[in-house]
Amino acid sequence: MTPLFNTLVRRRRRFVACLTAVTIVPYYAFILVAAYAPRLLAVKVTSTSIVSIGWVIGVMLIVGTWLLTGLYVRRANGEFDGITARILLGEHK
Amino acid sequence: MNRVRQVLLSAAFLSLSTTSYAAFEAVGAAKAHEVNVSAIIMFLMFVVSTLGITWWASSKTRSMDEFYTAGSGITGFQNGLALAGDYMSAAALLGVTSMIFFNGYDGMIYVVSFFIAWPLLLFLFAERIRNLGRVTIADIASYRPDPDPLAGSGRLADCRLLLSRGSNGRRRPTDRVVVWPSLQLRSDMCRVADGGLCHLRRHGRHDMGSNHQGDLDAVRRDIARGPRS
Repeated sequence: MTPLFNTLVRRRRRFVACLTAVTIVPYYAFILVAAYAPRLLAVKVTSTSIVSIGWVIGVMLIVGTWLLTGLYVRRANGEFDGITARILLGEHK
Repeated sequence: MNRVRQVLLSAAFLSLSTTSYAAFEAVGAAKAHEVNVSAIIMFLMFVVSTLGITWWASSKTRSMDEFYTAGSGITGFQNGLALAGDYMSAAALLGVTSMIFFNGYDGMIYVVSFFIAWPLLLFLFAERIRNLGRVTIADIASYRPDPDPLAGSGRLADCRLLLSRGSNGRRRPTDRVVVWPSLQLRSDMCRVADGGLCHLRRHGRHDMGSNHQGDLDAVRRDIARGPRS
């Protein structure tokens, strides 16, 4: 087991843990607010608008998942695949 | 004996799914529904025809390449587009549209939930089996340390996997992953279903082509050998 490999595993694990947390925490916050304080999400964006804040936050969550996925793909295809290639070439650290 | 167990397990799953359906019905509407015979018949027709097509297609599979869709000619990006299309037609168009039509903006909760599920799958599951070459989820599941589907379901299976053979014909050790991310992700149902596959393999009753079985054996030998440095 090369040190470089350990680095790869550690970095990947930490990255994924962060991404998972960034995905789960806002989502559950949103769901809990929707369950226990739905009035908060029903507030309109402006006094004349028919769009509620819940709608805007929902869209932000969706766009957020796209961004996180893009972030993962970028790093997996770039940094992590790069390290994998280096390990395959026999590099050790 | 194994077949009996398979049948029993399948029956258990079926009853589970119908139970939850019944619970949903009870919550949704208090009044009793008549049994919708035509819907049930349609459902069974779909199931049987799908199984039939699968059986027919698998009987034509002779090699690893044929085992995968379009002779493994589909790139990751194309596969992603196909998944996105599948997803948008069924979930977004039909489910969410009607949800918002009937329940107003509350439907947004369901839209968000759909979208959250996918990156979580990516981070917690797909990430773990990335770069594993042609090893499928079933291969990994069938190589768990404990092949008994019901025993030891509280245990994490920590497998060491290798990339499949490199292009130069040499075996190359690269990656070691914890195959099953966590107990939370691996529900008991998943486990039992995989265990069923495992039993089929063990007793040589897997219905794939013989070459595919040979490939699988090669993969399993790779896995058993462990990483080389």
